[in-house]
Amino acid sequence: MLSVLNNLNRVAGVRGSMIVDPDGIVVASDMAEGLDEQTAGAMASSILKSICAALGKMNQAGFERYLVTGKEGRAAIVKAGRIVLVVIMDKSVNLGMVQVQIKDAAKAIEAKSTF
Amino acid sequence: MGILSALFGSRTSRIEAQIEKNPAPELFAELVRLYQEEGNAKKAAEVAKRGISKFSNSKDLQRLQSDLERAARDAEKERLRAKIESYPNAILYARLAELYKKDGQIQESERVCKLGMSNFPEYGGNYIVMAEINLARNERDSALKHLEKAVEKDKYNYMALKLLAGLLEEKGKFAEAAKCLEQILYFAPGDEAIEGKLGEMRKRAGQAPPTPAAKAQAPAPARPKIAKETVRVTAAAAPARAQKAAEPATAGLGGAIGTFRKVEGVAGAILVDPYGLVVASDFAFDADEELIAAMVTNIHRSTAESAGSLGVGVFEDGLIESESGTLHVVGIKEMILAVLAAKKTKPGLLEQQIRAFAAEVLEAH
Repeated sequence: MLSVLNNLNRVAGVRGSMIVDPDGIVVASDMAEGLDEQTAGAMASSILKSICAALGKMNQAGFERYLVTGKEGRAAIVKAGRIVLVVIMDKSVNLGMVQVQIKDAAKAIEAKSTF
Repeated sequence: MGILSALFGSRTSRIEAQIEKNPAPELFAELVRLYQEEGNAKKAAEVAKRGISKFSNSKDLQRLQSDLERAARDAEKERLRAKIESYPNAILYARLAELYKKDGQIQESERVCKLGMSNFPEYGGNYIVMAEINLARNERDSALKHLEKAVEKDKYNYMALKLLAGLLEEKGKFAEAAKCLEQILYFAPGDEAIEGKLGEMRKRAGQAPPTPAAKAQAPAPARPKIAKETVRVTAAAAPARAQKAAEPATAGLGGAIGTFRKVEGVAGAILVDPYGLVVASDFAFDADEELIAAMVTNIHRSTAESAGSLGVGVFEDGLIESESGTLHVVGIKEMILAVLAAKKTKPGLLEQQIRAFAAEVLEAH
């Protein structure tokens, strides 16, 4: 799985990526320095829980991904089967291009996942 | 470029270069003062924040930042007072009261809050602020009364329910506190702090935890029926003088929220205030707007709390994609806008609409 993350991180504007299990535990990670992976993984999992619950109650089932934009960058939280791919990007990233790569990476992770 | 501005520009550039080369708290402080002298409060605040992030123990920078925040609050108070004079709405009272409270002007805060409650009795936000004032004064019974009122107006209010649960716990009413926490978990499932507290309250109330089957069948709190296909403007958004006459598709935010559905594929939109209350909404389906507001607030809160840990800085907006469509969650000042759309909706058109709506919100609040 690390090789999928390594490839994803070569895309311009991608700062790092990681794979988190349903309990928020980091399974694999290739993140830039300065980010607490465990905390980021737990946070991503917690966000996902509130989103899935909300979507269910709004009859919007089938979560696919969440793109978060902040003042200093973007994060994509993407469903890859039962696990979650988290990608951290620069704010100036070419979203159109990177989204295709993220989608491919999520498919590859889902195929390799034993969860 | 004038001589003065050229001189100013060269001084700021010089200090910026020095900071780049060899950062020191004195340099940040000097730069903050320069921007203050120029009247550029925004830039001064930015530099102070940068300085504090590097030199968190610098007393000089801390004082400068505190002065800047105070000045920003004073300016905001002035703006809110003028707005209340010209076009009053319930949220303005709550926000002004909160700013007074932040600056320790409790009496003024109470006065504004009471005015808000009297002019807009159906709006829950002022009751929450009033309860916080009561709590600051250790008036527990009054706080309880105001929180009950806030929950009566909005049964999905996270802040009101959490504070109420705490007060009920203090009074030894563990079963009632558990009910408040259960209500929170209905719209904020998975909130670990609330789950933990609920377990504790149930234990102290002598209740057994519910079985998974009972949990799944838990009914939603009753809600008032809202007619399908209506544009709704709450008392919060309606001006006092026109409160009784606030009809569907009222001009202003109510009218503006209705324009989202002119974009192909948009199923509805909702604007939520800082207290999690619906300001305006418009859905093409029979929606429990209060529940949607609570959930959107919960998504916004959990993302805003996590954005720093995810390395993206202060949260600005989010786009959720599901098999059924998309949900855009956008912070506009202290409010939250959520737009529910189909996948076929053109992102450019929707973004344009969101920007236009944001400008209207900023104008109105």
